[in-house]
Amino acid sequence: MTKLNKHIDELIVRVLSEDCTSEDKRDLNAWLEQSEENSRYYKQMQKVWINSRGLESFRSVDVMSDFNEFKTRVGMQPKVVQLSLKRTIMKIAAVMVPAIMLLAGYSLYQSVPGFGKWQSFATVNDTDEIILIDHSEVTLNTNSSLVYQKDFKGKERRLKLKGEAYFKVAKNPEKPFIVKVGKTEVKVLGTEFNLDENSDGSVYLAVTEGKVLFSANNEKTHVVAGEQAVFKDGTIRKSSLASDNCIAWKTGSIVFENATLSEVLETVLDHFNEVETIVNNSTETNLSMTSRFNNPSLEDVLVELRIHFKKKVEINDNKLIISD
Amino acid sequence: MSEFLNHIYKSTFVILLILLVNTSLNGQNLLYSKVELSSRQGSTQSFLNEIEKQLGVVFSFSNELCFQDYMELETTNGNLRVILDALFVNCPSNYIVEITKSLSSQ
Repeated sequence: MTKLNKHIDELIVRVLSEDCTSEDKRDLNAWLEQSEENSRYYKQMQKVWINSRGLESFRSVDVMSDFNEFKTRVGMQPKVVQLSLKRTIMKIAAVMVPAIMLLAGYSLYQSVPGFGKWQSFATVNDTDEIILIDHSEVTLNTNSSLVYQKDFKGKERRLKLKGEAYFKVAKNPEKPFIVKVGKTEVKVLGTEFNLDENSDGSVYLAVTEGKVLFSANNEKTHVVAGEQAVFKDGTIRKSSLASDNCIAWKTGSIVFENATLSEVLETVLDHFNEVETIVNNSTETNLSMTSRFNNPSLEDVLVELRIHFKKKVEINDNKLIISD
Repeated sequence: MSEFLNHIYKSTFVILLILLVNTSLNGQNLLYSKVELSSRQGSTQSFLNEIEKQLGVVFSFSNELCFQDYMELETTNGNLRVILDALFVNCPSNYIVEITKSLSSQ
């Protein structure tokens, strides 16, 4: 019966929707004529069919689309917004800039002497001495500065020098003592040496005790006690140390042992700030002098220079002029 | 003294500067100070070194000054001038004594 009803229902729907064949109509009429009950059933179906036409508009409703719109309106669904490149960059920058600033600030804090792990020390008109945490001693010449790690933690003891200083390094074979000056670097384990950086970028190293590794660019050389090395014009030149006069600024002692005129003048230029240049207009001489001084004035040295080299020596506007 | 020294740079003499350092002697009586050497034989340099220690002076000189590796003095006692004359007997040298506080006897 259910199967039959289903068949009749389908037939009725096909006829009511006018989607039927003439055979369907004939079958339906035959079925209606079979009983009054069939006729009543058809009329009910017809009535429902006619009333259902008012709901026709609901058929065109796209439920999913309308539901999505509803969700968007009530904020249930994220808005998909197409961002411009500029806006994207701005968003990235908004995150990155504070992060970079924080990193830069920290880095600056660490690298500025006196705040982070670095400490600085500078001299103006007087020499001064610093004893580092590892008990190394550094004597700074006038107008010089030293930047060094406060605690020497890590695998190395690192320092940066500007000007001139004498280093007496406490021995520690496991922690090299590295001084950077200009374009050069001196690496030691425990020794004594003098470093002097000139305004033209040249660096003079004199070793008074032990051994150091002197490097500049890709060049490296060992310098031992009694030797000196000069970095000038991009290369390192090594020679024997004629005297300890290079550290006269520290010891006060100047010693000339059979020194030639040029050697004496070189020491005068290096030691006395009042002499900025030397003009030697005199003829060559084979004379040499032997003498020693302790904290001499410039005039003390010039007097002997005049006597022993038989030259006229004048100082004029920080210029030392030598003539016959 | 400096004024004087400024004008002697053309001197034909070899000059031995005697610089007063750690001594109570003054320039005038220094050349007459007593010197007593430990030996009659030695080099010029060794005699000068001994005198430096005894009198608290520093000698300053050029390579023109006559130095001998070995010499024998007639006497080991005398004043400084006599001893220096004996050391530089064949050398036309002059002695100039300069008083300065900026020299040491190291």
